[in-house]
Amino acid sequence: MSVEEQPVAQLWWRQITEDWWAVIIGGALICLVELGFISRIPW
Amino acid sequence: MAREETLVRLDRQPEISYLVISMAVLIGLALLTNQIVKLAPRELEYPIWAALLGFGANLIASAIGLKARLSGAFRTEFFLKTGLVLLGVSINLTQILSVGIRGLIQAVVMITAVFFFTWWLGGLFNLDRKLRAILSAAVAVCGVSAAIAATGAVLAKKEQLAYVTTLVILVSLPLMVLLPIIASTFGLSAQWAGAWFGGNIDTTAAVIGAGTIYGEEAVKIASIVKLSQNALMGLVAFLLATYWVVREEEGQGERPTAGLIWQRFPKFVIGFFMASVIVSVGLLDKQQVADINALRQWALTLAFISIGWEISFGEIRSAGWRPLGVYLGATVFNTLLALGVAWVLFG
Repeated sequence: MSVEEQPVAQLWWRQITEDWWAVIIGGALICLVELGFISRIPW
Repeated sequence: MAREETLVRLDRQPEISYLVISMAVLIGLALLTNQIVKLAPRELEYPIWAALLGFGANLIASAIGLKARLSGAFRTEFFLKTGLVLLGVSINLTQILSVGIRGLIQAVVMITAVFFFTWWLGGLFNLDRKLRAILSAAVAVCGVSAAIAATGAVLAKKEQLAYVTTLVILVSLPLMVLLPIIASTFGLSAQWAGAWFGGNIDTTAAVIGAGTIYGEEAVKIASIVKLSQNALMGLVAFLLATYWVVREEEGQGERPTAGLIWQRFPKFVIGFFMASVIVSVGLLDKQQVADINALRQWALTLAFISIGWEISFGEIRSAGWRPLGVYLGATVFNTLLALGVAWVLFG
């Protein structure tokens, strides 16, 4: 769905949700690395 | 009832399968970017390859009429913000505080000057006042996020927001590639260049892209400076909404409360800050920081592919060329002013 098809309030709400999800996922990844569940990530 | 539920499920099926295909395409492009970066010469860094691949996929999907259906997994903002939270572990808290204070000073100067310049230029080109407000916020603060906040503050049309969003992406991507070349040509220090990218390029994704192309130190400075600017978004939205109700609507609308400042504050900045605290108190060793850096590169690769996917030219044609002229004029002003302010504070 492109931007013009979405109400502005919905876009803003999506942004807030994405903000918190980024904190949760980013935080979870850091914890998993810290606890040793994820290591030697290839790049 | 059961039949209705079955129909609803069947109706959703294609959406879910398109989302799965969309995720597969995105992951495939990320793996391809990674392979290309390993094989290709180092002149082109991964943000450029990722954006190019995303744009290529965008052209193919548009040509076969599948772009709208396959867009589900291409979430620039989400991947970017996750990448920024992960970037927090590469930056010590003392560096955030030292650079952040100068970043905030730069942000206040830049936002004030660029907002009013764009507003004035928009008036000169006789643009609609609400479009002027969105354009000014987008150029002055942080691109798409600020445009959405400003649209809410002045109750603009969603078509105007869609137009500005397209402009932000179309102008930011070339700047992401050009500014590091210019900075390198003139031998700018990593600090000066990072502060210039952070103060000038509108969308945060392109700021991080330009910083990454210039080097690890530049991306740290660019991200802190840009996040300082992002952090002021709530305040700008509040001031804009208050001005709109009091002056433009002559007190007819509902006056915003100070709670709007927190509502519009980009919450991922908290994650970035917390990640920096974790590394500053010594909870992570060198290998763990390297692993998180690799995860950050994957997250940002997904963000750059998504931004290439989102490029669209249709909005520009439909809105006409006058707003484009204003946006480009404001971007030139923004670029030159940011170069000077970054030199004073970081040069």
